[in-house]
Amino acid sequence: MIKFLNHNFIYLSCICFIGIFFITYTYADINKLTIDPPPASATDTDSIIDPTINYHSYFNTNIKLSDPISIMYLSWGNPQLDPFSPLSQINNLYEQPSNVALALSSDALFYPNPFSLKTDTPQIGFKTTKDVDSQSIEIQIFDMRGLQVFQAYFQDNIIGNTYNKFDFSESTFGKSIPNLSSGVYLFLILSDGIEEKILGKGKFSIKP
Amino acid sequence: MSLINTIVVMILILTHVIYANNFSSISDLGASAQAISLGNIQGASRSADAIFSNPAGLYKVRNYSVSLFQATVMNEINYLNMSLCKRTKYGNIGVGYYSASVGDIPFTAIDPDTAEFIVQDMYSYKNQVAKIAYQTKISRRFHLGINYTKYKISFHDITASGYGFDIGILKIFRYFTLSTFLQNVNQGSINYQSSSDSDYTATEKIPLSISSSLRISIADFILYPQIKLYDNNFLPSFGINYNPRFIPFLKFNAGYRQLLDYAYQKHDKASFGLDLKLSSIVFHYAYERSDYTLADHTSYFSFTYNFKLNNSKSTSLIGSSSSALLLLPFLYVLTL
Repeated sequence: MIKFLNHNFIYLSCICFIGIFFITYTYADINKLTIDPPPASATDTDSIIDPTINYHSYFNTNIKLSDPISIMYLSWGNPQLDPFSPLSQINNLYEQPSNVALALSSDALFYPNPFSLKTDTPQIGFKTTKDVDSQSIEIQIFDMRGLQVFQAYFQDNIIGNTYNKFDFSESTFGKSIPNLSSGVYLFLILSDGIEEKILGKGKFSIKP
Repeated sequence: MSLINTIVVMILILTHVIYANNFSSISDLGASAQAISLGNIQGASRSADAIFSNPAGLYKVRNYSVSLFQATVMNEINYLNMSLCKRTKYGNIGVGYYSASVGDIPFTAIDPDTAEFIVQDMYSYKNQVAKIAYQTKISRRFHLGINYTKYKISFHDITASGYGFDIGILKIFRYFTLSTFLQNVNQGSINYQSSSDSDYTATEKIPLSISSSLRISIADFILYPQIKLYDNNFLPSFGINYNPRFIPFLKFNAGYRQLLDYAYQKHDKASFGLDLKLSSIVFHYAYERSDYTLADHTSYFSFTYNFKLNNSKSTSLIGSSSSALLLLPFLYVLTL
């Protein structure tokens, strides 16, 4: 009797194991899930996430929260939401970077304003709608007679939908800030592309 | 020849000082549309706006002369210049006012929640230059003009003031006229202070500016070559005025100039314009390109009016009712 039960238990266990394996395999096949091998090191996981892309930049705020969303399992032990996968696009969760128009989503402002180039550490702050590579955003500054006194490119990458602050100094622009007389200055923020586009403008004043 | 020697000696004496931080005067834009169209030649004007270019040029004012100039640069900065000159038995007396004003400049703060820069308030900027001028003749062909200049600046909680003196001479030779204008010969300074921070004080030096120009008449043309020495920079200018004989009420101007921006970097500018003379009123127009992409075409308008009041036979400085026309702005300049 015990021998009979042992045989049947082994038999049923085998059947269950084969069944679970078959069901799992079938489910995986239907949903096209792929299982990546475990990464040899943490850097393998990093290769799946593009560090140059700020995924938050492309979040579509118009999405209804009641809509279902899909999560793709992209790597072993580190599930990530891939904003550019077709499934994500179906839910309109994210915009493709190419579809997002580069603009300033907040006014470009100098702080403090007015400021002194000798005693203050002025900064310029603004927010862009998407990530921008280094040396792609230009600043032009004009004096009260309309003469351009300064022109330079931001040397750092600009993170989209995040408030960026940059020192008004050589470290930001790769060239020294000229010794400006006191007065009012107008500035333009431009994108450097096939066609130069004015993203924003503003005013600041300098005290000696 | 002794005059030219005197000028050279004055230039050598007065230009040995080098300042690191200099004040940029708004009147360098030009005293009138005519001046701008001629490359900002500082010895060309013979009406009231000569107060800002070379007060010796006021010698041509016979009774009263009024000049008005208005311009908006980059759609933001409003310039206004008003000049008035009256002939008296002591010489010509003039009063000039030049202002540049800008509004809606954001006063910024840091948002305590988001750490973003925010606009806390708006403030305006006003820069005023006022001059009192006196012109007299040394001889029939040699004229002298002097200016007292008052500077006043205010923006947000900052106020600043300063003063200066100018000297202008004009010597008429047989074939040309020599004009020399020395601006801020005292090489004074603008002193800044803050109404909210008693510890804040700052100073900007007003650099000496020396310009020498010639006025050479050739047929229907008048040529104006000029060299200007400003903060140890030689800035050449050239203006040409064409007055066709068949339309004597119309003059065409063109000019080229080098000028310094507020960072003391050199720029080249070309301009053109015209003068339309209708009786004793002359309208001036000038056109210039701007570096500012959003408003890269700049037009300037001004007019001068030379007139005579009914009771202006009296050339006394004080006493006639017409003198109030000059005295009121005169007092305003003194109290600025």
